[in-house]
Amino acid sequence: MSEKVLIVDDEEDFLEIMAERMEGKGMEVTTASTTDEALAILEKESFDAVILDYQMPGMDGFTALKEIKKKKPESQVILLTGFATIEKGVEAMKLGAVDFLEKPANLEILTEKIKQAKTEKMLIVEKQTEKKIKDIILRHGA
Amino acid sequence: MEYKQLKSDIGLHFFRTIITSTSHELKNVLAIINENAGLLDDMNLMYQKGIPVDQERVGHLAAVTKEQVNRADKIIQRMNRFAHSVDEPVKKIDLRDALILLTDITLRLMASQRVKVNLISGTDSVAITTNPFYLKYLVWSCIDYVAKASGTHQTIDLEITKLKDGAGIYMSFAGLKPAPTERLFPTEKEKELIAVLDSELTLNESAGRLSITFPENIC
Repeated sequence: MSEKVLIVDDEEDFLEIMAERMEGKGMEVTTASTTDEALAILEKESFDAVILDYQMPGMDGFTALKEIKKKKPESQVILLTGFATIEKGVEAMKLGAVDFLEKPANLEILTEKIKQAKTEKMLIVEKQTEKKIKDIILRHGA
Repeated sequence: MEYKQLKSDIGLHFFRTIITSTSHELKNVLAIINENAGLLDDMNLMYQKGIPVDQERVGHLAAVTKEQVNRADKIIQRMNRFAHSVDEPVKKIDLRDALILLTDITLRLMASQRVKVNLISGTDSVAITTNPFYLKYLVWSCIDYVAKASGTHQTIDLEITKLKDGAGIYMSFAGLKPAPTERLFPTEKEKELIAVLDSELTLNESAGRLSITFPENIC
């Protein structure tokens, strides 16, 4: 099954080309050019990975990351930034990002990270489902 | 001749803000060019496997690359001109040119705060002798204050007026609502800049008006 990815970046050319390249690698790609648009999409759809630009107009990357995690805690967010520092990387991980990559990113590495994110998300969803089933059994008495 | 200088090194903070913002923008340009090159590589690999290449698509990618190279060139030119603002402590400048450079170079910063700044067209050029770097810093500080105090989408109109013995920059924007805690502006930083530039700042938050006047010559 192909990876379902949401790319969030205000650079339209970047979105268009990244989406084309990732689709060429068999991924299912949705794009958003604002964080508001991305949050609206995430309300309706679920993704294996969210590729989020750190410097978006109107909402910085960390705030956007917090909003995404609040809306969809199981989201696997990979932040892209112009300049990745250790401090920013640590902060991103603390806020729940799975990775923090510097632009221009290597698509091979990014693809690998997306695959890892998908596996991680499947495990989280499996655990959530298991918990839900256990709760139902407990409530109704097996 | 001795010129007034800032007592603290607050100017460095402004310099850093501009350089980090423009270098981030350059990284975005590089990312687009990098993905373009990657896509051309992908197409080349497909061609080697016997899959025909879409000529129109190749042409589009070339156009996008040229466009991004032009964009990078403009960013670097602006960065260079901005860096030269610190060359001379006092210089005769065209106020309009200085504001065009400032609004261009801070475009991304302002967009990140959801602020749009319009330089009212038709304003005549006004030449003053001042510190070009501190002037930009003071104007930026005012824009930044209005943006942060607005906390929402804001449009700021900038107008230049020639005065009898100098020039004025007038900002108009949607009036600011009273804040739960008192806003402090101008802060010590702006007060220091105002003193060094021999300028005067007046602010009417509820009416959405801010003005800064500069002498024709600070020497």
